[in-house]
Amino acid sequence: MRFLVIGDVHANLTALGAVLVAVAHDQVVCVGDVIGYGPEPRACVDLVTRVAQRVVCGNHDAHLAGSLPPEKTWSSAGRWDRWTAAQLEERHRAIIGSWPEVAVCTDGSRTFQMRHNLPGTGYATTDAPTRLAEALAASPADGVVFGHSHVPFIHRIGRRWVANTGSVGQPRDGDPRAACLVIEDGEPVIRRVPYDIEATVRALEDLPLGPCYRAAWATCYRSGLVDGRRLAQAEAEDGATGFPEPVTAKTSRV
Amino acid sequence: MTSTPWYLGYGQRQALALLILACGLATSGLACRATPALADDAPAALLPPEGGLAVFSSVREVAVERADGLSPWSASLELTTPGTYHLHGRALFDLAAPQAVPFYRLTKPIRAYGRLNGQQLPLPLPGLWYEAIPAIPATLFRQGRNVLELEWPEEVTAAHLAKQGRLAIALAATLGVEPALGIESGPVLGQAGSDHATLACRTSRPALVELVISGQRLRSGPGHHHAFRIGGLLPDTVYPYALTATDPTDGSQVACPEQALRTFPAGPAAYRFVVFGDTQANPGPWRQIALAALAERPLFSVFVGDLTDNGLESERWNREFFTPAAELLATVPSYVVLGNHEYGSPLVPRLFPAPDGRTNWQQRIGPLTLIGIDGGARGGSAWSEPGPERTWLEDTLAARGGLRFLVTHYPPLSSGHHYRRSLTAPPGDLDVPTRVAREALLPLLRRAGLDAVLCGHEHFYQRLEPEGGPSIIVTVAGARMGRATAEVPGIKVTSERWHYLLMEVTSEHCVMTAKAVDGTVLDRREWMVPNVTGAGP
Repeated sequence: MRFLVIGDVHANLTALGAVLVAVAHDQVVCVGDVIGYGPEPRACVDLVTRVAQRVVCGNHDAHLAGSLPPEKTWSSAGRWDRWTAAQLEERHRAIIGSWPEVAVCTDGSRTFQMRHNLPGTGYATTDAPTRLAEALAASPADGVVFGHSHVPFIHRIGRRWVANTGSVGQPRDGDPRAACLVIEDGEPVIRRVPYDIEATVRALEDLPLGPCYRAAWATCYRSGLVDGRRLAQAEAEDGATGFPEPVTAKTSRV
Repeated sequence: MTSTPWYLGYGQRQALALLILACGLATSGLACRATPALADDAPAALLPPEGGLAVFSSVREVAVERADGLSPWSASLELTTPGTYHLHGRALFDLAAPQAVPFYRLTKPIRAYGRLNGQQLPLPLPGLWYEAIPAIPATLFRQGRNVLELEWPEEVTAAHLAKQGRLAIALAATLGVEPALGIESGPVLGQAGSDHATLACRTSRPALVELVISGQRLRSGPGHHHAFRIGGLLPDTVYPYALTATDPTDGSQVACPEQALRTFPAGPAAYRFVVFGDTQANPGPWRQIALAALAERPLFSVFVGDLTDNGLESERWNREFFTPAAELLATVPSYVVLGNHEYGSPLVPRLFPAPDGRTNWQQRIGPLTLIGIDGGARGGSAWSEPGPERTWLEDTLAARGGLRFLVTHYPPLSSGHHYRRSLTAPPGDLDVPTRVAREALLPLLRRAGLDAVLCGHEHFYQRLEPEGGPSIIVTVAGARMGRATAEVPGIKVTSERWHYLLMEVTSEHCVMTAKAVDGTVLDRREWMVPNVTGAGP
């Protein structure tokens, strides 16, 4: 059994498609954040729904489904979420609302726990070894897989392991290629897949973003790094021409 | 990651050359392996359609920056001799799970033919060129090795080469995942009447489209192009309508915002309509004109052709015509004739339902009869020689009563450069239809006592009142402005400003006002209705 585990697609359809067709798999599992901070949420929800046997809910998904309170309206995240919500239909909200927080997959003899965030840390981003050990200790599974931080790794403790899938649509480890995890015969392997980054950048042109903010996001995609300070600065430079609502130079929550 | 070698070969024999691109990818989509250099025994599939076989002796390698999985493929070739080159590209790539997505989209040089694994790539509408071939079914891809071949002509002129002594021809092709289902063009309202309306649209991938109007649910598809005829409507009534497209493969849906259409009045009621000249490749001015005209609350619109710069290029239609005028097209019925820049595009009859579905059409609306013709049909000979088109026009013109306007792209008379060129145009020339309009159509129209010709082609405003009639109105709505230079008798008004024509029709007269976007009146003309019959649409 070969699992392809994808996460943090962030509405990047080009990257999602590249991963799905380039990596051989028997089953697809998604560890959340299919939407948010990206140009093609509708197509991504449709495609993930079509191909994934299991999907767990990420924080951006949960904001949209209403299982987490909405982001603050003035924040970048809040305005992205409202734009995203406007792109989706009611059926998408129903689909996202049905995604559980945790899923367990098995290949017969081994089990793998799938979730979006590291257990016990809420939605804070931390990959500290002690946290990883705690997460593994708290789970009966042979492997624990999560995403959220957009930085892929595999941490082994004895014969068990904790892995972060990295991000399909918005890598933040300096490698702009899409990241995903393959579990074959119980063994996790990080895979990187090049994709047409410029197509994603072009897709941003259809969004109501200010020119500086859009350019800053293009840099993020091309570099594989997300600089929240630079994004916030770009928003401020755009002023009211950023997302539809006026921007009041708050710190970006990316 | 290793870079993928691309092998390019080129040469010329009788202005024909060949470019071969080959790309080999490892199954993983990460590492790439080289494809052996092309040799004289290269597979027949790589050969150009005719001749040029000696090029294999000049194969050379060209580096490519990236060539992995679905990332872009690119390479460039320097050409140093003028000629028409038939360029070939060939990419070999492996997909591990091609069926994981339902559709692909291939972006490529706009005039390139594409073959995938030996099969012609399916086009939504054969006869159109697509810069991005949409909705390529996943079933055409194989697990493992796939072969994509591209072929297209490229003309390299001496003028191209003069500047720097060489010309780099770049091939860039990208295979990607098809975006979400969208209503790509439209809705567009077409021919209408007091009891019916027509509507068309095209979707980005094969879809089922449902139109809900006046309690009726009409369905079309699955397909890319959709047309509806809505019957059983009441005269002079506004009907809201909703259009929803559904992808039958995954159930995804997209709906366009609710719009409304208005049926024509029955009997001799007053109404307004607008006339647009060439819009071509200036979407900014065209949008301004379309919005200004929409504010006049017209009953319908008339287009005299050249709606886009090249009607055979799919993407231009949205960029240059549909998107800038989306509100107008969705709420006001359009009547269209072909211009030379449509190049007989097969998209026109699909998206502009005409009376009786014909390229040449006529419809009486109150006291006015509009007669629309493709003035360039068969190079113009359809109107200068005996045949079904000319017979139809003669029969149509024989029915008198009320006002009668001819809508055609080519002006019988004007002071523009097309008119001047038509005086000496050789057979087959672009301006032969202009000469046909003057030499063959004009006498026919005079004999029939036609009131006016609404036309374009010259890219300025001009009204001529030649002795013996009819009035000739040359109009332009965004195309690059032309210049009036020739000496022609009968010219009353000329203006080099973009505009639209507002036509106000009552049972007694039709008043035309040529208006610029800022409301400036460029000209005004009134025709009296000679025989008030008031027949309904």
